[in-house]
Amino acid sequence: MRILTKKILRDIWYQKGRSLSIIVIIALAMGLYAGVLSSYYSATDAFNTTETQLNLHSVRYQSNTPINASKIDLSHNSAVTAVDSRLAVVTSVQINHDNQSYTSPYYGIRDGEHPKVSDFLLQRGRLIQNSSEVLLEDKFMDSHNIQLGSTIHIDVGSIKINKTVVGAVFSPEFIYKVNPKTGLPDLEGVCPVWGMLKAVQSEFHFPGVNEILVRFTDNIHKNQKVIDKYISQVKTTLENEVNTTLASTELTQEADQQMKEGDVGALDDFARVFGTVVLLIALFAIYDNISKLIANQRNYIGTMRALGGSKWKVTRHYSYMAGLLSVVGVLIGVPLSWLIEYGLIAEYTDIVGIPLPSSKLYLIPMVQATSLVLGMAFLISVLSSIRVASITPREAMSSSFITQVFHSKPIVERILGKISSFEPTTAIPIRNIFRNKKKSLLTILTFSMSILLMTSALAFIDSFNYAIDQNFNDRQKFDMQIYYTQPIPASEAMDKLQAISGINQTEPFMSQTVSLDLGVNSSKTTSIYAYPADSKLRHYDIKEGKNEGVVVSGLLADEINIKVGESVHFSNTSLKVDGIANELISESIFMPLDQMQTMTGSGNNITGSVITLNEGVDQNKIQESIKSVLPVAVIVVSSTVKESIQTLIQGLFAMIAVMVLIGLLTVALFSFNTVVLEILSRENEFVNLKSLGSSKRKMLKVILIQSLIVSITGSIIAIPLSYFVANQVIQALMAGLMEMKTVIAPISFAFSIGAALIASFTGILAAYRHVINIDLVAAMRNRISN
Amino acid sequence: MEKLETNITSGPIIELDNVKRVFHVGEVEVEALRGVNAEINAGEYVVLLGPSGSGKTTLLNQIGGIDQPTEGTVKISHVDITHFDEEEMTKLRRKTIGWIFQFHNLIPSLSSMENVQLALELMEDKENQVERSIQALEDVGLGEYVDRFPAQLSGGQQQRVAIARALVKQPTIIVADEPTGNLDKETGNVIVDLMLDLCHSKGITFVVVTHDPSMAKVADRVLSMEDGKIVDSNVLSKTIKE
Repeated sequence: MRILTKKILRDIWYQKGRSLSIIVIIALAMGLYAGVLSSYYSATDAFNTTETQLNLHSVRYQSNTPINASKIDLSHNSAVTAVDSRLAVVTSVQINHDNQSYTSPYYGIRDGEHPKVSDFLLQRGRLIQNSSEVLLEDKFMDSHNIQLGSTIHIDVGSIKINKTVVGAVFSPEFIYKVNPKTGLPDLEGVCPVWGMLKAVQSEFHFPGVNEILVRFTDNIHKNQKVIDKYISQVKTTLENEVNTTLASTELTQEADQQMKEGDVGALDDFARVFGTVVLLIALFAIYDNISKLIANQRNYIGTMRALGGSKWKVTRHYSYMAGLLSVVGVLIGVPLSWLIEYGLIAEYTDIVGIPLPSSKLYLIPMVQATSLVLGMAFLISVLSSIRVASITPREAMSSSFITQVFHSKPIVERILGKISSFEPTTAIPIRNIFRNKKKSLLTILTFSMSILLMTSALAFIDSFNYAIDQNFNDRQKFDMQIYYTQPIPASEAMDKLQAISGINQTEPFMSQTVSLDLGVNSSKTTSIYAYPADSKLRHYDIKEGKNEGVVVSGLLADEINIKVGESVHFSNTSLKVDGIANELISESIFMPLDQMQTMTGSGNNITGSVITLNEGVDQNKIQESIKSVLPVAVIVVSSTVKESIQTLIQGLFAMIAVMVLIGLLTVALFSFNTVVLEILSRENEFVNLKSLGSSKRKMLKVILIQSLIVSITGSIIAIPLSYFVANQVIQALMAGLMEMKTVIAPISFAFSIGAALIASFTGILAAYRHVINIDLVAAMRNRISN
Repeated sequence: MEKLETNITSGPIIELDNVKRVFHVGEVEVEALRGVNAEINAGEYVVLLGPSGSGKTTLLNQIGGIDQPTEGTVKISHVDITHFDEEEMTKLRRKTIGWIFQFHNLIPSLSSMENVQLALELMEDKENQVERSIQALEDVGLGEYVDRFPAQLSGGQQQRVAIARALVKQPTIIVADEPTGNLDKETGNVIVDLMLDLCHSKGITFVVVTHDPSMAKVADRVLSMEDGKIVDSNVLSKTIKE
């Protein structure tokens, strides 16, 4: 083996601490980046595997009239792998131990058999065997404490039919459980039920099926045009066979699927955004460690250069050294990434309610992470080596301790010195900071960076909670939103509502679903909401323009690229936009009630009311009372909507929570490492102090002052840096999904910075112990000979 | 780089003409060498003697190829190296000059033999590296210590390894900066005797810096330095002996 190769291996071994630091930091960077990126692939796999295993439909054909299922024959179509049919109705159910009514998609399926398309996983119990038995969705059963053998009541018109629950199932059609009435996820409020086909047909007087589910071969799914072609082709065939007109809904248009796409899409953004933050932090930590490792070899570099070693040879030597450490770090990072990915995906699938996929290593994120982390580490190694190899041999062989050039006291000391003069043991650390400003700044920034991951993750939670509070405390101040089946006079609604005990305030509103003309055969369905101009229950947070006339939500304005003063166009009218408002999730248009009544010719009629309730009233009783006096289509409870919004990004929240934990680990490790490295790089200074007879207290003072300056300055810089990074993270994650202002609660800063300072103090103590235990004789001998 | 004549056995091998070296430390200028003129012949054992701060080490650095003068010329084997670029200076140190430092500057993670072998590896001289390294160690009396690490050797032994390292590449010139400065008198004498022996037996030109007049006694010539100038370049060694 070549001498220089032996030197690399031995130097790595002799400087175990430093070498291990570099390996750990690189392993952590690799593990985090690849793990987070892999979790996105894993989540996608989890969904795809479930959908494939359970033969989720590619398209659902619906009919308003009964279809004779025996006439369905798609066997001649090679694109179709499976076809099935069912009767689907939307009703409501009640369970025995509460008086609530839950929206229920109720399906009639063949008894005793699993569906051939859009199957379910039987988690507990058995399949149905007779008309009095049903299967329920498992998460609903768990959250409402429904046991096997329980009785539920299904509303069939005005009659309630009792059914016995014999099985709990997981269905890929109901992961987000979008309420068909509100269009929002409603995990607690939607109760999917499966019953015997004949029973459902009889109960709802529907002698046939009304849904045909078709699954295409996998290769067809790769191209939208191909899918559209086959959907149309199969539709034509079916319509001919069953002799009825069918509507079709492709899987990607199903509300639950769209929620899933949004959630998984957010995961992808999460992976990239947090992955980038991790790399940024790692960049500083790796640079700090590698540059210090190589700088520590300064004397040997000078010797090699004096012996005739070329700059290139020396650069190559130290690049290899740092490069080898990087490779080891990356190799350790691979299994670490698997662990992190497994942890993230286990949490995610548990919350979302899908089966955990079998674990595997994903090549793309591994290759990406390896290239980035290794590339970064190699680049840093080469640049650091080039820099040190460029020092002349004469300078390199002089002790770096001796060649530090001082001209004068730093300005801080000169200013503060006017107040009181500094003892030498106070002046030493202050002058050290200002001696090598670049090095000091790097150390301080590395410390700041260590805090970023945790503050970014906490910022997301804080910003989300703030956005929810702001939306439901400042903008939408009502507790319930009532939609009527038909327009009714405002006065009638107001009078009847105010007569109900428990209702505090009430206001009218109108809503209408419209199609926005976006030009070039393009349109977008949206809603117009109209509240009284002086409404106390619905406010707008105007960000552009003014709060009068037509106000468009910010999300909608961004999507259709509309500005204040421009017009939105409908099929038969246009409206000039007067203002753009920050809205949490709404992509709607708002206007004063009287303007909408005039525009629609509704007179004094309204289509809905919003109410606030007195403290402690029974919401169910209020709803029952309202339904008994007014023609109610649906009542949307604000607290349920809040939960639904949280459900919308539940997967993302699971990941963020894990990120907070990982961030805590990162803070601890990187802060500790930065402080220890900084102290150990000044070992010569402590040798001098010790040889002069310095007490332990004085040594601790010198260590503390410089470390505290680094830690505190780093923490202060971390505040605006965290805000900047958190803002980028949140905007990247929430773009198009929600409008969220970046908020970092003081407690989040306190927690992150507190953790960093605790880690820093631990590092100070560890380094202090090392310093006071230095063997003076050996250290002086080493220093002289080096 | 101009080819240096490596077979000069007599006549000047080192020529210094009005060599000046100024260092800038912040706003302060330090004139370390203020016009040095000297010639050193091949095979001579020359000592640069002077008090601390007289410019001896700075002058040695000019001769040893790790620094260049601000003014004047330095010739090695009749080749002006004053304006050599970095690569040429490196080649000079690699092939022509051997260095011995006050603090030996051995690599602690390499054994004695490996420290010596390092010099050959840096020269990319692959021929019989191990054998030549062992021979060099034997020449300095450390044939039995080939596998010892620097921390396992005494100060004198470490310095002898450093001499072996300088010797192994068969340089034309060996420059030594206070080679005995870190050693006790007895050990220092051993080192000096070794260097003298090598000088005379192998014909290597030695330029040795010291502040200790007793170390200068054995030299063929002593160049006394004071305030950046050579104040006496006669064969003072005889005078010192007398």
